[in-house]
Amino acid sequence: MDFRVGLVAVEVALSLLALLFILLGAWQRPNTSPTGAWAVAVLALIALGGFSLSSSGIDGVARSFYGLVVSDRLGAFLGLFSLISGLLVLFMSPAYLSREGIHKAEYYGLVFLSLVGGFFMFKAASLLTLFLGLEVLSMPLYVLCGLKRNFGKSPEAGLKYFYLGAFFSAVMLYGISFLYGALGTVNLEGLAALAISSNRHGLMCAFGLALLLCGLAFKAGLAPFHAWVPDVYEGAPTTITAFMATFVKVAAFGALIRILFSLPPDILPVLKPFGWLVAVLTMFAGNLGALYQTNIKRLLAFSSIAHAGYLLVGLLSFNALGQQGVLYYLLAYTFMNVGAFAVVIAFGQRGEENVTLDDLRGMGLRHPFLGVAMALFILSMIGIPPTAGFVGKYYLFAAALSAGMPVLAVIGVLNSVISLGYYLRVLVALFMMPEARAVIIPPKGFGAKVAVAACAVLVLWFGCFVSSPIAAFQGAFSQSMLQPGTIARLP
Amino acid sequence: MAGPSSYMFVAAILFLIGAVGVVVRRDLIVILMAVEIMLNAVNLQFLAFARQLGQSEGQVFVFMVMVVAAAEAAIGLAFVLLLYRTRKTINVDNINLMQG
Amino acid sequence: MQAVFFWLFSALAVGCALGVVFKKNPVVSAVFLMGSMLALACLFLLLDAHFIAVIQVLVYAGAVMVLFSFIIMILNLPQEELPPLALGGTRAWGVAFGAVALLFLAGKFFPTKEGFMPTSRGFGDVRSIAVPLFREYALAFELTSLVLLVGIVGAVLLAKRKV
Repeated sequence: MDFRVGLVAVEVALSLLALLFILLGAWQRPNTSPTGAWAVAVLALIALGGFSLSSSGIDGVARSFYGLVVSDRLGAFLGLFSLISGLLVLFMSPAYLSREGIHKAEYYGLVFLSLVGGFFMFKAASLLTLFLGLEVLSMPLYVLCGLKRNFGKSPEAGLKYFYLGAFFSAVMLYGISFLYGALGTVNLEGLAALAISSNRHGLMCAFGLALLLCGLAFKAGLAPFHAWVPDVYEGAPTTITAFMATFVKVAAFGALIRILFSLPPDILPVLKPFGWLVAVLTMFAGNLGALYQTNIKRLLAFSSIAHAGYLLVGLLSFNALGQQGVLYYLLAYTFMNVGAFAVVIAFGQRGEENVTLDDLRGMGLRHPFLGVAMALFILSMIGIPPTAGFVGKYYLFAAALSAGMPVLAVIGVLNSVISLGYYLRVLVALFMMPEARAVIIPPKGFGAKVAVAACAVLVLWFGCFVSSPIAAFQGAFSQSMLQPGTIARLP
Repeated sequence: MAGPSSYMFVAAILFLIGAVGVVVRRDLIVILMAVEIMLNAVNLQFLAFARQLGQSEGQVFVFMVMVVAAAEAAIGLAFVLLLYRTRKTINVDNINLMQG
Repeated sequence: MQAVFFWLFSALAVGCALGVVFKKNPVVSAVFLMGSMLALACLFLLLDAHFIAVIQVLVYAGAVMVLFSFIIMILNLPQEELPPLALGGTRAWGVAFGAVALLFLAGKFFPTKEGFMPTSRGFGDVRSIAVPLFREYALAFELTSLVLLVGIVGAVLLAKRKV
């Protein structure tokens, strides 16, 4: 029997707590806030985060459940990032949810279940776990997106996300079935036997891999499957937008890493040009699209597409620098993005969310704390030192250079310059424009401010003290690779 | 004799019919049915390969896909119901509050 | 004999699938979908997946289709409110793409004459699914239970009038 439950302790704890919250939801009276559930959720995430942090130092790879799950440092790190994202989102949730009248205990249950799904995506050792993890991750998010049932945009966002998600999970499954037929197994180890050629077997492999990667690219919001991102991010409750923008990216990139690093080395030269094209398309689609946005949620959605493109640049370089860069950037991106959305929440009010650039005019001077924090997040997104975003971007582009892809690095830098066009507009609106309205609604929400402060401190911290996290991320990939030594054999 | 390739062929046709249905139809309920057709095509292919390889792994996978499809149908139809109640429409073209 | 049944049920499944996609009335589509599911269940039987075939009939042709018909009846859309098929304009590209993809597939994956190897005894019966399901795939089985849980809770959260 191969049931080492200890290796999935975090997931089990999260699932049980989710069950508890869903049960609590059944006894919750109308118009009350489940403060107890919230407190339990926060404490649990802190405890589980500490547990993940302590287990991320342990070397070695362990498999369990008959090869369905792999437990290693990569999984521990990505799990830690997910828990951090979830914790920050929880901090800003109660005020926002009460304001919108949707503060239910089930909310926390669904967030926890989504976390469980993400964990199984990046701890997957089999395409079956990966697919089921993806579903467990996605289904709660569909519901959470549509949770503001009385605000027309929210059900629309959920519906759009659900229909596209269902379509792409069918596409992904079709790909998995081709791989199963060609390789005779759905284990990720089996992918090492993948061979692309023009005979039947080779075509099945190519077809299956392409469809599988399409499904993951959709979840990660990579071009050309990014069209849903702005609509869904705009319509969803803002806390869930922040959660999706950070945690889902972590999970989708984690799954991509698992798959790409299980492929045999001779596939990579075939795959690289496609990846190159997708990265360039994604960066341009995100940055050019954001230039025309006046709604800050949509603007951040497009910028999150662009950030996915930068991450792909690091992933494609397939060297140590790129791997450290991807992990570092995922972490930095979590802080700056959650922080930015927390500021948006703090500026908002019920129903009408105050989310156009016009609404933000002059707010930076009126509310200096939120304004300065927002400026910090935006500088980090642009990639200006001493912020975490700069360090992450530096590693990503340096990795592309050292992997012999100077054009990709140049395009990345060029895109960062384009992104100035819209990031600066936010800063100008915050600090250099006269206030738009006579009556200023004082920003409420203590929790959102806590999240903002934490994110701001962490963005600066990870911008200044780089060496210890980079050292920790060193070798996180190669430890966890299913076939050790693939990096060394790369061209 | 009908072998794996025949089943793959039929699965491909079914999958394409489903995919075209998702793209072409405007009716949210029928789009959901088209997705179910796609999933069924996948199931057929999995079972054909399971038969060819003589292992039950593929059949277990199909079992999981069926569960997921059932849950998806529940969520999808709940969305349809919610949308119809608030907006009196099940037409995809009327889902246009967010654009630009 | 098997080949005759294969092509018969395949034609039925494909024909019914076409009916689902190209009939305007969702009730008619639902009935066609049921036909397609049943034909597929027969194909599953031909593949020696006896247990899965039973589940297909029970879960798909039974439960899921009941769900669909319930929703269609609850909404009870009058004929003139049904969305159009919308085959014109950009949607035609969808059909064109499907046709091209099909031609490509027909070129690359056209059925060959090869058949299946005979299987071992007991392949596809309840035991051969149940044993791996609760051993090798126990974790995946638990994950599907989470999927179903979200399905239930989510449907209530979204569609119940007063939560």
